[in-house]
Amino acid sequence: MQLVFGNANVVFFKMPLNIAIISFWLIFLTFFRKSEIIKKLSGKGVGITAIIFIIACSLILGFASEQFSANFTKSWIMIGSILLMITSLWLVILRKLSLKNAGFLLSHFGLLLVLISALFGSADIEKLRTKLNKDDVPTSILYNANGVPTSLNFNILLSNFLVEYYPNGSPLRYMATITLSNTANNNYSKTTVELEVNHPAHYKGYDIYLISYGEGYCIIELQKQPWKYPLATGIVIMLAGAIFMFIKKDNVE
Amino acid sequence: MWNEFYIFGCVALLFWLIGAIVALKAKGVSKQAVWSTIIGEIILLIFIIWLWVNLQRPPLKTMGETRLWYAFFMGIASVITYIKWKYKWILSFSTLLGGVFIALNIFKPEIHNQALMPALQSIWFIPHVTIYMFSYSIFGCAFIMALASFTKSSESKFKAIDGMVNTGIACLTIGMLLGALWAKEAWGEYWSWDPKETWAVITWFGYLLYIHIRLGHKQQKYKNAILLLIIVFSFAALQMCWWGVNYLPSAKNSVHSYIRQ
Repeated sequence: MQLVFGNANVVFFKMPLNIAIISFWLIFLTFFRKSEIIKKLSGKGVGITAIIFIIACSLILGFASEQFSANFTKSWIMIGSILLMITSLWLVILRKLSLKNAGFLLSHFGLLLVLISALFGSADIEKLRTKLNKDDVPTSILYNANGVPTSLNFNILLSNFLVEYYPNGSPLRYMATITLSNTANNNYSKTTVELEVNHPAHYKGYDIYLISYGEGYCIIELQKQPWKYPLATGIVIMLAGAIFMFIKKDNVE
Repeated sequence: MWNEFYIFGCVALLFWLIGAIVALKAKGVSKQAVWSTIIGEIILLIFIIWLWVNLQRPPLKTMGETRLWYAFFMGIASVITYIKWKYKWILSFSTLLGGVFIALNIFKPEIHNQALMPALQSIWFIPHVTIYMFSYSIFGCAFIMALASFTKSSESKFKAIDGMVNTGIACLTIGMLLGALWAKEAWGEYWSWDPKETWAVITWFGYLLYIHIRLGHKQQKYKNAILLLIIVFSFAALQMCWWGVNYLPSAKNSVHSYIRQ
């Protein structure tokens, strides 16, 4: 498949196609879980196989160059391994559905949610960047990863950029002050946000990150990632599962 | 502070050594051995706290500082192992490893300035690194136990390894997920296949592989050898993740390398 189709074209799987595919697959597995073939997929062996496949893929990534890695994460081999794990996780959850397996269910369902959101959500991520110079005019044009310009319905202006230093001269903090002005439907309004490393800002559904900086300029990234909510939920569920299993060991056979 | 480290390090090591020898000679679990090790731990902890206060930032940044935590948690993990599974030689091994780390810090401290760069100024920093260090030291004990099992394996040794891997994977999972939440805030992605992240996921799935093969499995010689090899492999991956990635050509642009002085 890799040879015939090359890497997966993620753009094709945008919402709502990604939701349709994963829902169909999970429902299909649920309905036919008693059939001979699907039953075989729910065994421990398939789970172990999926783990081995992901370890193998990760080992390749671990030694490969950056360029190769960037492509390999989009390869069908990688996606297939994750799909196998999603399948195995869902079937084993269905099989062990019982309150006494709470820790097991939390950690496995959390991981399932994380994998689904990360894999199927990647097509819906929108990332735009621009370089802002101090004393520039406000701009509404940002660029995606391929350099294609996109126009937003608000303007961005770098109104201040501040660097504070420790007494020994190494940087203590970088802070960009950004002014955002709404230009949509004559509904003029102005907001000022402060951007720092580790402290992104939020505006009109976008997360705004300070990516880089230099003498009199900074580079910012605006991001829309609709799947971050299920992803974060999955992480929290996994955390709960890990803490639960740490305190109280289930006896899942 | 680091100039005085050799005093703290040597005294702590002396107490660990006494604990290790007493444990080897005693029948059953020796209280003196446990207390001697704990006193060594307290001495090291006093140094860590002193360092923390003086640096005005958590000492979790340089390799020398993380080695300090590793030596500390190694002692704790081995005392727990000693009390719970009664392996008298585990204290000798943890003393040896702790000794290596202390010696490294005395002769090659890699002291850096006290400035904590903006990227590391986050509430996620301390829980993320300390919980990782704790899981690393538990896996260190599991690794020692696996090596001991190669010559003479028994179900009771496997039970002990199971216990350590279960505790270790819980901590590793928490450390990794806290890291993911932090990464989202800092770089905008929960996961970006950075070399350190890649090796972290190899380590994580390595130990998960062990747990899943162990589930409901009966004693079989060839399977035991595979299981022990998985422990060795996962521990090797953990070393790659901790410091090995710094030597990989693919990691020169890693978002996880903080020391560029």
